[in-house]
Amino acid sequence: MYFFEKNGRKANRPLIEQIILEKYNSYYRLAYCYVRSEADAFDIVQNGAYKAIKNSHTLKQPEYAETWIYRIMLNECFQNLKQAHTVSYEELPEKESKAVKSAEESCANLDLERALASLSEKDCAIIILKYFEDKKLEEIADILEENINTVKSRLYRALEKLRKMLSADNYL
Amino acid sequence: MEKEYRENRQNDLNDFIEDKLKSMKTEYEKPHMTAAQVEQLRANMKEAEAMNKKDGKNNKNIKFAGWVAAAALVGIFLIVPNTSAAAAEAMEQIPIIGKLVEVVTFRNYDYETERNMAHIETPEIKPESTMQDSQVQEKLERTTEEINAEIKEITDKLTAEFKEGLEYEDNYQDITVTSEVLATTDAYFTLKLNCYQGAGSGYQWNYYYTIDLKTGERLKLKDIFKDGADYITPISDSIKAQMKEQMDADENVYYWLNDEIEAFNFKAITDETSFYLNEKDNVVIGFNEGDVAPMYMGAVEFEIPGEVVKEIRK
Repeated sequence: MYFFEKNGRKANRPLIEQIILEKYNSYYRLAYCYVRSEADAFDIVQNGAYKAIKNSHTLKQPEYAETWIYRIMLNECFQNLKQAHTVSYEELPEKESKAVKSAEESCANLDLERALASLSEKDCAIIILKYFEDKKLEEIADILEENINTVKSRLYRALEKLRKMLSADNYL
Repeated sequence: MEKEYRENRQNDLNDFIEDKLKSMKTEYEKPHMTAAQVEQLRANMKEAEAMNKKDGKNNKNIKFAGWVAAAALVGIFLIVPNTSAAAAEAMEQIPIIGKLVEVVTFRNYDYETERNMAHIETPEIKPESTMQDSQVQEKLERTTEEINAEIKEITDKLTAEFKEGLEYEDNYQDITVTSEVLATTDAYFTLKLNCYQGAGSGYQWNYYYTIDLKTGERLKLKDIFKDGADYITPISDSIKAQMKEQMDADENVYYWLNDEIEAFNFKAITDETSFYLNEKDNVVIGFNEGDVAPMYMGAVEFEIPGEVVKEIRK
């Protein structure tokens, strides 16, 4: 896919800045979902925004700006996960207990959260983008630079995996 | 009917998960950046803007290809030619019935950093020079040379692609090529090359090289059937029946057989379809990832029961 080209397109920069300023919370919660740390999530958004703006002239099709920024942010998330710490599943219950909600709901969601964390980074991204960010499969395919059918089968597989894990825990 | 039932059941279960996921959305949406963080972000963006203005002109096509991020590359670079005695020996020790050919490692390419991983084996088939029929011997030598050249071309290409990928610091890639000698009969020898290439998502595919040891020639699917016989239809039908059977038995198994997207559906094998003959002398058909099933199914094989093609086998 040719999103990038040599010659700068200065007009992209204001557009990209505008999108980031509108959507920073989307990127932040996406990052938070992966790294489970406010500081790390913020770092990811910072780095992603920096890279997007600094390289804004390489974006070939302005209509793909949103997709492009999402991709950069996701890459930052994956990079962060690879770098130092892996998310410790044992830490999840503690974090979860901070959330104020009914014990029952907390328990059920915690299970799903754990199941989500066990998916591959990319499969997790598909679930997040589809169900939490309400993205269309086409958009997800563009963000992940995947064929739409690959995204479909990944989604199918991810749902299947989630279902299996939850049913193993007697929630289904 | 059955398909409908299957789909409905599947949909119900997936709906359940979908509902659960939707209920999690509120939770997901909770994290927010603080006002201070937003200010910091704005400042950071201004800085990036300045950087963009400064070096935007002579910025040479920054490759944001694939998966973005800068990482220090600390590479361990190894090329092991045939001096890898252990590897070569290990390969040679594979017992081959008839001992007419053997497989050695011609070259290994290994590379490993955090973002770049490669293990590329280049096997080589060597004919034993003890065959009595010199004509067959000659053909065998030519055939193995041809196969070796093909394998080398594949691994050369993959190695070159991998090295090219190393140029981009924000790349992520993972390539594995291994080979195995498949259990074969006295009459045939098959070397299978297993390839996996990952860059974000992975793709798995295989090559099968089968030699007819009686003639020394490369074996084509049509060679094992009587002249003019239709082997495509019975083999394809058998594969379809097996697909259906497997899908009925296990809901996680899915093939493109009766999919809504008609163009995807498996219809028939071709003369180019990969195959080999297993130890029972049965034809085994191999498909690469994504050929006849969604990518998650990986590369798949179907053994065609002997009786299916009994009448038309040579």
